[in-house]
Amino acid sequence: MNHVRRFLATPEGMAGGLLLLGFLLVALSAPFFFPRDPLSIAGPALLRPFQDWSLPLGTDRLGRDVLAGIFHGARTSLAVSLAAASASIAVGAIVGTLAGFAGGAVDEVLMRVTDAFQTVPGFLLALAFVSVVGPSLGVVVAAIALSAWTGPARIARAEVLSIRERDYVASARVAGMHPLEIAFREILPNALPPVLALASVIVAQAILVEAALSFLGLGDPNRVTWGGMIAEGRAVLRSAPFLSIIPGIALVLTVLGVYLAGEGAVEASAARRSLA
Amino acid sequence: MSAHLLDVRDLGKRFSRNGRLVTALDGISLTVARGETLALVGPSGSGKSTLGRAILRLIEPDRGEISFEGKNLLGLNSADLRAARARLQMVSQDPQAAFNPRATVARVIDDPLRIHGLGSRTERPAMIARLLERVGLSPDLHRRAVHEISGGQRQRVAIARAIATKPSLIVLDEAVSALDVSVRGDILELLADLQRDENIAYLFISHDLGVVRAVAHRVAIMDAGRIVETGDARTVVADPQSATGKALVAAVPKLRYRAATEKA
Repeated sequence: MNHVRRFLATPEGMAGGLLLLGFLLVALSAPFFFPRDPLSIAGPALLRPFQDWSLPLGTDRLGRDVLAGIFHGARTSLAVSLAAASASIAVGAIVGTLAGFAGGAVDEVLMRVTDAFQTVPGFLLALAFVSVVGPSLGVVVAAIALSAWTGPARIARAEVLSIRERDYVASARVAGMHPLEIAFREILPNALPPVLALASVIVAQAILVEAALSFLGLGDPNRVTWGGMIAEGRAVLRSAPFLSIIPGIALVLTVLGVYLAGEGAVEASAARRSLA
Repeated sequence: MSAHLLDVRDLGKRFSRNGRLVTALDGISLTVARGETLALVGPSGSGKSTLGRAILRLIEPDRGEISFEGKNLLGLNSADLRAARARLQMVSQDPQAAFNPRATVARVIDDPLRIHGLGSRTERPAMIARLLERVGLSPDLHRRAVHEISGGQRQRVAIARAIATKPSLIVLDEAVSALDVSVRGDILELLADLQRDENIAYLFISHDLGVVRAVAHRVAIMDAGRIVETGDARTVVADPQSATGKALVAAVPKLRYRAATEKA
């Protein structure tokens, strides 16, 4: 509870926390407020916002409800970003731990592979991957994780390098513990906190990459996404700019919220460290 | 092979530090008998901790032989070495650093039991309770996190972990140096008690000659990676022959004398 209070005491934490809370409520409540398929036609086409209160944010070119799209799009963003962040942190932590703990040739090989992934721009990698495998939610998640695991891997390796010289690792060896158990049970949990600090950056990045892929038509076609909505609105940008602006604002607020919350978490942990 | 519990022959280890080779161990030979305490003393940087870690195979020596319970310790493959570790344990100086910061007392003592297959999952809690009692702690302590208990209690938990697998030799690397004086006496008493009951041998690494004289049977004085003097603990402390030994002994009464005059 103390962590939460200190987190909310920072202005970044407060603002980010509120934005994230709003985002989560929107994403989780979508099926209750909008039980219909958000891709189905709900009214006349190109209805402007605030004209008809049963469709408060208007409709797009095909007469689909924009507000329903925003709510359901939040679900897609949430699912993709959380899955991509978890996957990239899991892969990065495992690769980094193995490299740091094993050392020698294993370390060299794993780190050169990491370098190789890092030299390719993340978005290009995701783009190439999706266009080869085909667009679906799982593939989009994999594509984002593919370009985002290198950061966690480097940080985990650096932490592991310092932890593996600690006395308690020597104690575990003297107890006869298997090296893999030492790596994943004694070292990895203690190397994780700085890696987790990357989570907010990865989540924010994942939301943007997913939106960009959808904008280019490489998102899952069976799901509403904010990026896809922006792309849809582009054709009528002059006559109905709200179709691109509304999902754009949702995207900005969400990414801002995630960043601010991450900043707040870092501030809160720094405050704790300086108090200790 | 030899009748000794531990027989170290001509052990050597060199480290490269900033591109320069530093000789940490320079042809060390020593023996420890069952149930005996051999103290290893020397100024800091003399290689005594390195020797302890080499005997535990936490670092690999460059040359030499270590025979433990008749087995060639340096020739074991990793699986056999892990099994052999049951008989060869360690208690280190800093009881805080020696434990995973996330561990509970129960987990710390459970690990060696589980790894060496001593007792089933249902039997182990009772074994842990017995071990805690054996080192003079309440069995109720098992649920606590290691960072919550006091330094003296932590060192008792470290001892419980070390004796869990019924070792025949424990390397005590400055095991009482970080404890305050009142606690130190209790821990030394506990160690002596365990030695009497279970015939455990100790390799007692220390720089405190007062403690060494009280607990050790024999003493080996190290300097610059070599053993410069060995002998009966009382005899060596009373009348050291080597220059290093004389310097170490001379450092003790000076401190006592100064403390006495300051009090007056």
